[in-house]
Amino acid sequence: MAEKEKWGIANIYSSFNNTIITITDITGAETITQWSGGKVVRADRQESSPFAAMEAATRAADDAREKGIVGLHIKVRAPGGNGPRTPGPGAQATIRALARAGIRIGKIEDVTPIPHDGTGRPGGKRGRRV
Amino acid sequence: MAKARRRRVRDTWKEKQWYRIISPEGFGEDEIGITPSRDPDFLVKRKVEATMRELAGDFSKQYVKLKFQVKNVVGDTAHTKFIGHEVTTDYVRSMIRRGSSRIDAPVIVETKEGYNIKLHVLAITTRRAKSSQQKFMRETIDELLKKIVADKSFTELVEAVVTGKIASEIYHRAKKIYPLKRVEIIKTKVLEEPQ
Repeated sequence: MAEKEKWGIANIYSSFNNTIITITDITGAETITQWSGGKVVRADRQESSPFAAMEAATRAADDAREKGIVGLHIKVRAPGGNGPRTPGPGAQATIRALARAGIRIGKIEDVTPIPHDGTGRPGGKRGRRV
Repeated sequence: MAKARRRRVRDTWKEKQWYRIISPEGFGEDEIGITPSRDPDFLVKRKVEATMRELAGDFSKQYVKLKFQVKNVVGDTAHTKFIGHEVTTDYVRSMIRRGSSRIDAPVIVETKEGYNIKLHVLAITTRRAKSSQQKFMRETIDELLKKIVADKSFTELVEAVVTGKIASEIYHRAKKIYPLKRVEIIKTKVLEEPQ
């Protein structure tokens, strides 16, 4: 990599209830900006929508560019644990929006926490009865 | 309120300086990246991940992530040490198929200088192995690794692990017990260093 190019990490947490984008430096110790779906839309149910994710991503990209970040490595994350392990609807939209905003994308990785056995999933033996 | 908070963040951002992070000697002492910090003391113990592609330009090994930790800062450069490596989850998942057994063998080894390192070996068989065979396989891997590592120094070991030399050696020995498809060291962790 060239010398003066500043790269960062975009930590994207995408659940079915919200999308949170945290842009940090390469070590993950210094946060550069933080945006979420809930910061850009009014209604609670739209927090996880691709539109909200897109909007949040473009604003995050603006903030990052202002601070001199050229490219981002991406770490996508679903709730994991005993919850769902596939990222929500906002994940893909976020990456697209970041790329469209003129930020270079490095490696993309899934960092969903997978338990090596732990507490059981909610719902009990007979499943969730609605 | 939100406005006041943001202004405070901006101020600290301007105070921050950028420091270069340098990989350890065994990895070419290249620049991995740059990180901002207000005080050079805050840099110590930060962790960075870098793939083999970035460090060695090896495209066939881009699924290997190496972890480094900052140990000291001189001027605007931060020197790091190796604290472990990991293989990406999607690569591990692509190896595992139905109808074959997955054998995990975590082994704690000690190098010549007294580093304690945990190596996590993953072996994948061509067909389903019986649990007795799996157990025997784990035992042989354990023995073999301890024998290999005993006369290796830390840097030699790390290099052999990362380039896959040890994995191929295990493969050739252990496939006599049961036909193997793949052997890979998916994780290492430095547990203890000599003082």
